[in-house]
Amino acid sequence: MRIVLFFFILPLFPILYFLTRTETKPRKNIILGVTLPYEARQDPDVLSLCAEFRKWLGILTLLSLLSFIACTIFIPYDSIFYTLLIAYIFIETAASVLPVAVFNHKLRLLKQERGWRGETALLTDTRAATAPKKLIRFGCFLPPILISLIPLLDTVIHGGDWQMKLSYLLVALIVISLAFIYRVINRQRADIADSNTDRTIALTRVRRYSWSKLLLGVTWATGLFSLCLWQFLFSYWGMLLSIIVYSAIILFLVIQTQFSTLKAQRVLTQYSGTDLYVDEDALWLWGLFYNNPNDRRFMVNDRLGVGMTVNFAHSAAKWLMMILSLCLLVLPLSGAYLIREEFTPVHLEIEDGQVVALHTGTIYSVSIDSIQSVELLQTLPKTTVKINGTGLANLYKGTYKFAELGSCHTNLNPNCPPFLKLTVGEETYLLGSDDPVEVCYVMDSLLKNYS
Amino acid sequence: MKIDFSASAPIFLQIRNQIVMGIANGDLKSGERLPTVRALAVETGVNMMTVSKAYQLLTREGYIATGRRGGTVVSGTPPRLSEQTVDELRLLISQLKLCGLSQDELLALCAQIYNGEEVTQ
Repeated sequence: MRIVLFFFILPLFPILYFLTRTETKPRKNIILGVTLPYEARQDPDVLSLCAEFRKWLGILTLLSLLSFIACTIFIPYDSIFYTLLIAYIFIETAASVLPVAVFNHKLRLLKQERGWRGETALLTDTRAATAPKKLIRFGCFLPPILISLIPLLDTVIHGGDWQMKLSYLLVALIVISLAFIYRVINRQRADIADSNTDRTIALTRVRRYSWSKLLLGVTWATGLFSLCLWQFLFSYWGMLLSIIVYSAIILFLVIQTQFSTLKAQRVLTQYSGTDLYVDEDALWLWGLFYNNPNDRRFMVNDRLGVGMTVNFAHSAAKWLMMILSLCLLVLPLSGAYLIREEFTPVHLEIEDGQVVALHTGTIYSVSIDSIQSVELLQTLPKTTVKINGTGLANLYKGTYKFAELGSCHTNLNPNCPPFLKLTVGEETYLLGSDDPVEVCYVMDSLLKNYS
Repeated sequence: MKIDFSASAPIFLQIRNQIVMGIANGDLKSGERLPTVRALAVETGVNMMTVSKAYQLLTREGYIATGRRGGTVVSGTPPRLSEQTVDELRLLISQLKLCGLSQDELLALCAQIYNGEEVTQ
């Protein structure tokens, strides 16, 4: 799993680097989040700042990439590796945002010094607003929606765990919501860079077309992924391959759409900025965060590319940021939890007429009198699916589904056989210990009890 | 169309004024379709009621016409000179006189604005 994660995360470094690097190319008269007139594009000071930005971005990206590679190779424990991986979310975000913020500030100072100023009042192009919108029909989203409902329908008709039904339902809801998100996105305002109506109409069409392509692609990919989830439920490699392929497709769609939109925006505005041009720098903190108390909208288009962002002046955005910040703060705690899980040994013992499975506390306590059958397994079945709980290289804890055994309450180290299988009514327990002697002792005690 | 949120003039009045100037400059032609209230509200990020108020004012004054099928279009018939417009002009001229402009300077300034030239002070 670590290798898979490594090869999945590794390309993100150069992708983020190249995406951020393109901030130095003028699009819609914006360089490094600062709106500049046409003549500023060849200004030596502006070019020098851009070159310095690219240098610092390269250094920061290289440092974070090398440390990531070192961690992957030299950190032996999964929990510590995952904890550091979480730290990389913060590090890599900072590595790409920090240089943009610093050089955005420097460029703004230069802009002030030179007296470069565009049109700061809100510009609206009434002709662009009345131009016909070429939207794809909702019907185009129907086939992937129907495909995503197949696994759910099958589970409802033929019966299945509520966890499986919930998983399939969630995937279907994601697919359905993508179709509705498309409607919301196309209600955004036109993309205005200057007073040229044809340019405004073209820029707006580029963005809307990009969104259509991206959302339709993601909807289809997610619909087909739900089929893979359904088919490869008990196939470890099938499931792994499905996740890798799905993630790769989504990543490709997002990156390709972003780059092609940025390129189109650059080409369309290559001669803009000579006359009247839109300057919304005052509304964009560091060129990245939109804050406009006069704008009623919660979600707005990013200045460049195909993304969207929130209006931080909106009250809902403040709540969202608070919730996201809390989630981010919890992430390092999850690393601490994983470390505790990995380094705490699994135990099995008999106490007061109960078979007690221990790991960071009592996990399961089964009355000996309620046990209907006992079996000692030397190996675990190969096909295993975690329904809920913790799954590490040295710990299976929670509810797992085994191809031959069905759903089992599990607490064991898969690397330390033997394993004790207990049947209690309709429930099955599969328990183990880091010390094989404990398992054998419990087994012997149970057999004595039966005899 | 420009809307300045930091200006003291109400937004609906700014929208109204910008459309009137657009018609006068020839940017908006007679019979040309204007965005719907909803579309313009989305474009400007303001409340639909604000845009609706601006459109209602323009319709009352005769600058635009709203039909069920055709939407909102720039009116083909020029609006008549109203008493209110004359009063506003009277006030403006009084203010310019107080700024020290002579009659000739005032007329030259008016000619520049009328012809869409850049104003030289």
